[in-house]
Amino acid sequence: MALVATIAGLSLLSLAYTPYPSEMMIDKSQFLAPSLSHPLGTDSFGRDVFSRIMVGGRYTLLVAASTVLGSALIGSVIGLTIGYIGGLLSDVVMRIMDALSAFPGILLALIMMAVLPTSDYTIILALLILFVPGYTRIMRSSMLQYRNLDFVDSAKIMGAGSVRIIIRQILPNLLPVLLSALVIGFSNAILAEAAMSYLGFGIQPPAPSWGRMLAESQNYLFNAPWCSIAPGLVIITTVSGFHFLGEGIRKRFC
Amino acid sequence: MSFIVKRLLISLVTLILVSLLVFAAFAILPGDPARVILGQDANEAQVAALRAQLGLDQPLPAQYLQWLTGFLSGDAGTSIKYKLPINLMVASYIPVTATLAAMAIILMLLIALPTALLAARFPDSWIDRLISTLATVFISIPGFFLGVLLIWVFGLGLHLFVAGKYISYETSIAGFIVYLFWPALAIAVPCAGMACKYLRDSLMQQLTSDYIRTARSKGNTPGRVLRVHALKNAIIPAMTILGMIIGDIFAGSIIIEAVFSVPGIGRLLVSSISYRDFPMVQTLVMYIAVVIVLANTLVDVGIKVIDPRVRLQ
Repeated sequence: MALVATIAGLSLLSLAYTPYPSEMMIDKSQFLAPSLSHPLGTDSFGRDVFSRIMVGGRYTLLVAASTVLGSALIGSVIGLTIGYIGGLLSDVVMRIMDALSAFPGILLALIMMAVLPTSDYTIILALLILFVPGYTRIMRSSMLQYRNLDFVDSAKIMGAGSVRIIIRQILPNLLPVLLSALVIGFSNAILAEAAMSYLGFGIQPPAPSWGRMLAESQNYLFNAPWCSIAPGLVIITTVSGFHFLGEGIRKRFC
Repeated sequence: MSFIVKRLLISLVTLILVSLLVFAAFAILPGDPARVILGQDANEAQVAALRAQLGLDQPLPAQYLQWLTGFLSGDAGTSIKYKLPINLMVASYIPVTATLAAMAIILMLLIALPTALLAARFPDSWIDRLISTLATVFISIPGFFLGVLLIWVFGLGLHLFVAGKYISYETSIAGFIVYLFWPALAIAVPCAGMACKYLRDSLMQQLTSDYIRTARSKGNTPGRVLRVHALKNAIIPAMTILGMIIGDIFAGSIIIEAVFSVPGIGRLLVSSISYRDFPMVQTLVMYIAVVIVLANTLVDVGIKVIDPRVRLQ
């Protein structure tokens, strides 16, 4: 929890303040080792690594947040609907979702990058499609648990419509499941975004992102290992932070 | 016998579905491949001529059939970027990725089997906890960062290899294998973490069974009970995740090839996507899908051979 709060806080803070402008190139200060004035050193252009990580966190968390919220919304609508209706439609949709998730995630995201028109937001759309099947499956199977319970029947008898039953009667019961899936999804989305931007399919430069920082600095690994190690450690910390938070929520409420 | 036939049919249907999906994904593209090939300077007549040559003026179902029969008969068309037959290019990249994947699988088993056995031999001891912690750490490290760390520590720090100095298998087989060792290790370690955890839990479950008590009472040593009696049965549940891990190994090799500059299928795929070389991307995706589906089929058939009680759901 504290981990997640620190990372999110630093990223938010970067909106207002960074120790150095993330794109400012300081003359004659390329590859400075970590020191008091540059806590994580500087990179090949003399840019402050710590400031770039703060700004990069903003992009990474933005991409992760829009991906997770978008795919959870779409996945929930599909999952709840087919779970409630059931029958052939449900089977067909689930087979398509199975086919989608049979591919390794990174391959699917790469195909999406090839197929979708290129823009700054392609990465969000590509990852969004990647995570829809997971949420559909979770919401559908939870819906199946509740669909035939007494309180749903009594709501039906009272004349409530299907949409009303799904949203007012069943959805509140599923919120803890959804919440923990959201938080764990966050850590997966950050990992996927980092991998994609490492391969060069993320937010375009000069905007910093953690994966790209790692890829760019790899050539200078011998002279300036801090440029690579710092973003790598930040990715691990953030990913495991969200992972443990999600597991905590699941154990607490589910 | 009927099990294998049924399983093969399921795989065939899956592959047809995948081919439809792959084709559909690229057919709804907003861009015109003919325009991409010729560039913006070409006039309408040239574009129309190339469209006819590529069969793009045909209706979609005819295009699909043409593409599929082409793929199956070994003529997947021409790459837009390299202007070479796709299959010729793929053939020169496949040995690299195949060797890398095979080495990764071997390394994964070499790491996962002994550690899982060791952890199950002394459950809840410090060694069990150490192995389980390490496994969790290695599962959560992103593959590319693990690769960078390996280059930093073993390549730059200990001078055990030079990253990026790829040795082709045509030059020296031994050099090729040695070069691929580190990338294969980077792919294998996260998968080994996962395999080790599953296998350990599966072994622990077996250890509570009656036949284990019988084996012990007959005077077998704890180590022998574990290796000879429990392992055979524990392998079956662990094998079901092997199919998943094979997918992970391919996903891992796409990224690790970029980290270590290995000229394999993953690199070819990434550069083709950047260049929007659609025929190439389409073919590569189909090849990867075929390999993954086949691997999963083999795993299922393998489980059936080991344990004839298994049924298809």
